Amino acid sequence: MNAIILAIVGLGAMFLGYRFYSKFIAEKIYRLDPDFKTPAHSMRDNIDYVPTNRTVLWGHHFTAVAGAAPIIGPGIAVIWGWVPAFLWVIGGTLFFAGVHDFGAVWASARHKARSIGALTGDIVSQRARALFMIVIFLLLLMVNAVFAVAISQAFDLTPASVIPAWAAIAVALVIGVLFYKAHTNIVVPTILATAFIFLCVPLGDYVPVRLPETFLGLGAGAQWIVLLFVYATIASLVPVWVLLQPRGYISGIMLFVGLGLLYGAVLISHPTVVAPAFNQSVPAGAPPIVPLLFVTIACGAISGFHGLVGSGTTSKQLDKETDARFVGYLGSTGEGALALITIIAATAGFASRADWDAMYPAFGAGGQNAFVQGGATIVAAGSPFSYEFGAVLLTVMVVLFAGTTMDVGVRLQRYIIQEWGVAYKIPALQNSYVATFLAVGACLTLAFGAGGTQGTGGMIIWPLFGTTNQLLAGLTLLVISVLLVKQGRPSRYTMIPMIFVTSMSFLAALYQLWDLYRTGQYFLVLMDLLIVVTAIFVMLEAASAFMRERRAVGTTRAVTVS
Amino acid sequence: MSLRERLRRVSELATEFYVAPYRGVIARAHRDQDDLFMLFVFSELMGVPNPATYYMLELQPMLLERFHEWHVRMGMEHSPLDGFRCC
Amino acid sequence: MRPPTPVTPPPRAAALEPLLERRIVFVGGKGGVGKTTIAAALAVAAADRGRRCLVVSTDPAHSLGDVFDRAVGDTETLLADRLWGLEIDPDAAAGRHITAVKAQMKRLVHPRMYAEVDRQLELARLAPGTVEAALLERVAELMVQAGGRFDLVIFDTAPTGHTLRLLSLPEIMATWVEGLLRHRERSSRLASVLARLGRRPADLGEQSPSDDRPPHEDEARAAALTEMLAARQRKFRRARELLLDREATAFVLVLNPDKLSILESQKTLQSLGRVHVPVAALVVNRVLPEGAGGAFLEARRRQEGAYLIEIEEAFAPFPRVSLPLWPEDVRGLSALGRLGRYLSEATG
Repeated sequence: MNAIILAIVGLGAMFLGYRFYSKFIAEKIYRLDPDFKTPAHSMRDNIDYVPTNRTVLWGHHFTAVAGAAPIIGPGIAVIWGWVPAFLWVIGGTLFFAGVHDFGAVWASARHKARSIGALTGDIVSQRARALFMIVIFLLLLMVNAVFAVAISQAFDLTPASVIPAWAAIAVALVIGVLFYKAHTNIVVPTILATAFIFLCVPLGDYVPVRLPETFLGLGAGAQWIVLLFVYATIASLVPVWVLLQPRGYISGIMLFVGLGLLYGAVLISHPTVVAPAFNQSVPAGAPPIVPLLFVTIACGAISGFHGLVGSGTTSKQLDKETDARFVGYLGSTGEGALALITIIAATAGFASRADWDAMYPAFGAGGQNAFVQGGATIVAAGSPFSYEFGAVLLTVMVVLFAGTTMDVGVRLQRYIIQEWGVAYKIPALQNSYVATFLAVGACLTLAFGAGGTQGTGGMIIWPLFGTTNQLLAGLTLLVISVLLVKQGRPSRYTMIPMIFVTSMSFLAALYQLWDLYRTGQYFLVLMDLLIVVTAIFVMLEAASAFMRERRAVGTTRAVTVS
Repeated sequence: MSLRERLRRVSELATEFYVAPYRGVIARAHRDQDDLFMLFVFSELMGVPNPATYYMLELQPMLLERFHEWHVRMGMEHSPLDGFRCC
Repeated sequence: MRPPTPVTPPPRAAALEPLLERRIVFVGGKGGVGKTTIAAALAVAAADRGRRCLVVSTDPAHSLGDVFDRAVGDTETLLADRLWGLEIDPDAAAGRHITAVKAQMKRLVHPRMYAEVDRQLELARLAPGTVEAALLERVAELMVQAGGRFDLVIFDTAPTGHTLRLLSLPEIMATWVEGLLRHRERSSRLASVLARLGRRPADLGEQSPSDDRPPHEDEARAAALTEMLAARQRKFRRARELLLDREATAFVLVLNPDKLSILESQKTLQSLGRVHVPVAALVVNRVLPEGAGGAFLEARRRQEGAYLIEIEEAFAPFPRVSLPLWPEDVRGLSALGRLGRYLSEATG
């Protein structure tokens, strides 16, 4: 099987999905109105609420939602063969993520740009809102642990990437400070900075950085994790414009450059997929494909996190309601394209089946490393760049994505803890340093405690992370569906995805409960138990909300008839 | 639309892509800073002892509009202060 | 029993004359020890020497007018050649301030809110600290003017606790205002970054109300806010500097030879030390003159002798001047002139 076919069929399906399915949803289900006064206009303050050109807004939405997760998830999930991962990514993007992201932007824009969390309280119930908050907290807790582990593994695999990756952060810092203090234009320094990072790539290859094998009893991976959390602590305490904002640009550029480079190289080198279509010989101990596939690939197929971005930021900047389709649906399509190229890299970027099997000795292996190695092979074959250059560049890309998410994650968690401090009148928690240390401490515990001293807990909890993310998506779809039922419109286009992701997450959580208990990961068993309970409540909440709304609609009809 | 115009349009959008979030971040930081300042000036009205209320008094008129914007933004349709209904 | 000390201990050579060369003199002490009289006498002595002098009473219960035997009000009143008097009325000062704020506020709000503005600001007038703040404002202004319109400004201060608060306020105020100014600075820095980022392209939606407002108006307002604060800070900082400047400012503590006055003065000295205000001299007022007849006064004088020794010991480091109890009230210009000469030339 040639990878070009995968790329063309996948991208073609996504294009058709946007062209026809999203049009149908926009016209018949969400019923977008070009004359609707969006919050960006009705509540305009030029800070949060600003009407924004839809192409620009799509760029922001896409770069905000696309991170390391659509790389890690498919990178792990191809262990079952490329067909299941491919089908779930394409089908998920078309019929799940598309309506979900699009719906979140639409629902929020129709309700004064309130966040999905707030809408859950308004539209479903206050209990559902509380569930929503619990899920978000779990998600933040896990995302930092997961990404710290991913970065540490990437550094460990590609020591040449250490210097360029940190150089990118240093450069972002310089841009941030320079731009704030000096009177300079922002576009030129950003372009120069990106060029500088590319120049650092061969330098990193020349001076690879390896941490000592053990230091204070910690392995190299664990040392990286500690260093990364030290960094995240500092980064989350400095003002946003100093580091986070300029680094966002650089990540954005890397995303577009990486996607272009990889798809171009696939087109030129047309590599063959060496991985099996369906892997008949999955390593022992690997979980069943159903339901685990559907939580292993969350971002890239459907991800609740997108609803947070869509309803938190994007909906406040929507110029016309009809732009929601372009921004929301195409935003998830962009992420689908990233997941698709990861599948191609992780299945066609290896010389032989044997090489591929070596990458996947056990469940949870592969991930971003399969993406980097496979991707670099494709880059070397289909572009003027060498394998080493490709490997470093792709690693820097993954590290930047994961690092940005960590910054934001620690920061958000700090705010949550500080707000608890106010709500429960604990002055110590209100201090930003105390709150940050607590947040980081919790993530470190999770990153270490779950995976032993090697600090590889993040990948063990990857499916758990996906499960939580899918629960969040289920809640968002619930809000959209209830909204549709209330308005007497067909709700099956969001209801079926909701039932599907919620039940898959529930089953996956149950399976992992058994699996984690069996392998003695009691810390994670507790966490999973929390997720199982939350999932049960989400399902009950959904059932009761629908019955309530059906009755209400029925009553209205009866009254109208009589 | 001529090619030159198209190119200009593309570069305008690219610039906006870079600048817009930065503008938002800075504007937000600016607003938060000014909000805090305003709260200091009005702090006595909210029951927070302020060593310099008397001297802050003359700043209040200039911050009146800001105060109104603030409490509306905070989701309070009307001023939260009993003795100070600005709307 | 100790043998009675028949004579007043000779005061140190340091008369108060050098104090008249300063720009600012504070006269303080417990209520009723004769602060106003001494402040007034010093002022007359300074004016006699050709210095333009303003004597200011900050005690809410003013007695400056009584001492000069004529009305002195809230405006500078000419009392003699080169001599002016002023009794600060903090209530009036606060009232003026609040009226000005009201007028400014009313220019910015809808007429239907005038009543609200009035009500709110009337409450502010009655708020604790308002009168004190208004008083401090006047004192700071006058201190800054000393050396300009007047060569010397003498403050007859209110009872001690109040005075101490007054003396420590400039520091508190300066710190508070400084904090606020830092906020303004950060804000204006962010505003300048924002200005550099430019406006959004014109095609993105219609203009919002805040776009209609010319940007310079916001800037002008922000600049005005900062300037108001900065002016305050300059005033307080200058007042604070003057207060600590030994060359410019002197604090004279008045006490009587009795137990309570001694104890109170000791406390005052400690407190002044804490706020770093140096004390230039002590005036021991109403010492029974020698030779005042009668067994009764003789007994009192014996008692007083013990206190005078105590004063000698307790306040050893400070220059002191003794003043006798006069047979009649010190009232009017000529009596004050005699007292002033006595004070500034007293050598024994």
